[in-house]
Amino acid sequence: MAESEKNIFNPINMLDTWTRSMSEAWSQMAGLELPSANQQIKKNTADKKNRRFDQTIGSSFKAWQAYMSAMNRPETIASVFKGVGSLPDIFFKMIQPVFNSILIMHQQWLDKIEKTGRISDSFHFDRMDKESLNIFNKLYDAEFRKFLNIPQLGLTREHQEKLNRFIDRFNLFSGAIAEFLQVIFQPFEKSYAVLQEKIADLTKEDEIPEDPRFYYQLWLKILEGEYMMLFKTPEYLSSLAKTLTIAAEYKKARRDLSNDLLHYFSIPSSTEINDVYKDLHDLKKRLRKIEKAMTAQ
Amino acid sequence: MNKSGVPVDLILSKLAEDTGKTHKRAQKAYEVLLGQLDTRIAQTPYEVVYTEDRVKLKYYQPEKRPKNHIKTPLLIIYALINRETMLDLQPGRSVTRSLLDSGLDLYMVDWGYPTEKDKFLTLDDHINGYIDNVVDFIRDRHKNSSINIMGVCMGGTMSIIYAALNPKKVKNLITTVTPSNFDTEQGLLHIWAKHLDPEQLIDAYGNMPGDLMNFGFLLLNPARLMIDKYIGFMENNDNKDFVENFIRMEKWIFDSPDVPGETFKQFITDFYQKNLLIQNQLKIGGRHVDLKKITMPVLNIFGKYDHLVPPGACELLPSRVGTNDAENLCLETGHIGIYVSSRTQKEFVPKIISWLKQRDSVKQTKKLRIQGVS
Repeated sequence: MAESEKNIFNPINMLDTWTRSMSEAWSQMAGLELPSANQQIKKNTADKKNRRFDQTIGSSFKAWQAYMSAMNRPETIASVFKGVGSLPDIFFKMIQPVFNSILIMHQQWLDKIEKTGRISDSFHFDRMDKESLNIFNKLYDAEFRKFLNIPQLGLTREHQEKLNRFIDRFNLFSGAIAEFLQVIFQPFEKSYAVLQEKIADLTKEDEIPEDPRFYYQLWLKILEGEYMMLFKTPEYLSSLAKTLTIAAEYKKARRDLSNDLLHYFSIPSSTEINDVYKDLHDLKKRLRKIEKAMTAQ
Repeated sequence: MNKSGVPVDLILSKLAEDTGKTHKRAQKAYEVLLGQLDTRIAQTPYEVVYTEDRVKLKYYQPEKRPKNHIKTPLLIIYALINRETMLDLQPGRSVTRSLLDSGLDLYMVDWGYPTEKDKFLTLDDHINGYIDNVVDFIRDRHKNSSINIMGVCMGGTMSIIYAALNPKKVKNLITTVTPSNFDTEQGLLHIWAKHLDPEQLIDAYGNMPGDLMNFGFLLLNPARLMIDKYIGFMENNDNKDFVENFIRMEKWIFDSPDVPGETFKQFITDFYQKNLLIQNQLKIGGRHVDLKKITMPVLNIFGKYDHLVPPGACELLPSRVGTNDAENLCLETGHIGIYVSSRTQKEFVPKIISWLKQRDSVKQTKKLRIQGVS
């Protein structure tokens, strides 16, 4: 065996090659341009909330990149093969960037908590805090979905495609539902903020009522108003239409998959039963027409 | 320190004062909720006189017939959404009972619960099939050439179509909270429906699930329907009458049959999205629905605060039909309040009875009875 071939099958060299390639891959991911998400962010760079999810994703990628870099260092690779005694060393190097990442995420949660109660404009939904979900959906669409669309081969090709379609539609459905829920919970956040404004106004006028029910009624009225405004916005209408469309697609994908299983067990599928229902409907209609014509004679 | 200016101390003391009351109320609520509650709905006795597939025709026989009672039977056509039990929800607030007390023969269509096999039923099947058969049955039974029809919501829309296609079989037409003009921005349903893809929904679901529609109705006003309503319940759950009536309403609201898929699709497309009915362009079963052929008297009742079928969706009808004896009556209430609120009970049914009495030709009915015309 030639020396070069020996090197290829050397476990240290193999691990080295693998960690190098993974490190490069995570470097690319960390600097990944998410086109639409970035466009959104550039639109409103001053708005801190728009960067929150981007920072989270970025910090996670950086953590992985750091993890792979740590693994890639010659001393780390060597220590892997030194034995169990060096494990704490490796563990420390690996865990450090992960802790950093967690700290960043904690900071972002604190930002979110701090944001609660901040005064915002009433009856305006043009600056919805929806970027985080958008980015998740875009990331799924750009990075993960394509794996489910890889053409399938062989005898089970069709079944595998149906399974992949089902998984894909389920993921899209989950994303759409989360986005829709985020939209319909938006008025809650807004109503608390507006309530604070109203209370501040009442304080200035020294007209603060003592009855707690007054605050509830005031909040309810604001919430109702916020909903009425939201429900007419293009954002809500598009989210509603999108959610219903994706829910329907998910249901169809699930039905296609279950039809295959039912066929395997020789149980009539819903599609087959539908055909029977349709025939029955048409036959009944024809029969009633004939009956009416005969009665009229 | 009280930065916001809210008198937190005063509010807390107020809350503390209320604690005693709340404790007492909770004790009483415990007794009410664990005690005997009468939450039955639709208790007026009836007889099923005709059935066809899932559809039943209920007949309510009056216990007494006053001297000047209405001779022509009245058929109530309810919507395909929710159930007709709403008209007989609770004692003392029952439209069914009030109509019956006037001495008229009352019939009501019970659409039942559509299943998967009903998904291909169209509006044509409902109007020219079930409704026409039911009307013929009543005409035959009472030896009348025509009967009175009262439609409720979507049932009213179907009644309008039926009356336009069969003017000789309808003596008087009453439409209640009935949408006829769908091109309005007043109600959220009208806005939302324009963004639906009914073809895709029905392809996926078969029939339109009642629960999904109910969720949509709740979304029309989540603050009131999902929060305040239940807070109101918590505040009054020590009141037995309140609890019973509340549960009756809950039973009715969430008793939502699915809507046959093809019918739903057609209703969204031809009505909400294309608004064909009021423009006189609608076709049902290949027949043109010409509103000008509605030549019988028309009474069109709707609620001023109806968030499902707003006044803008109802009020055009009298101006589009082919009779001068057509009027609008707008009541100060909402979509359901028109049938169940105690205030409108005093206006709604009395108006219908007096309006029908004025148009109930005794001579004609007697003459037809003698001739045995069916």
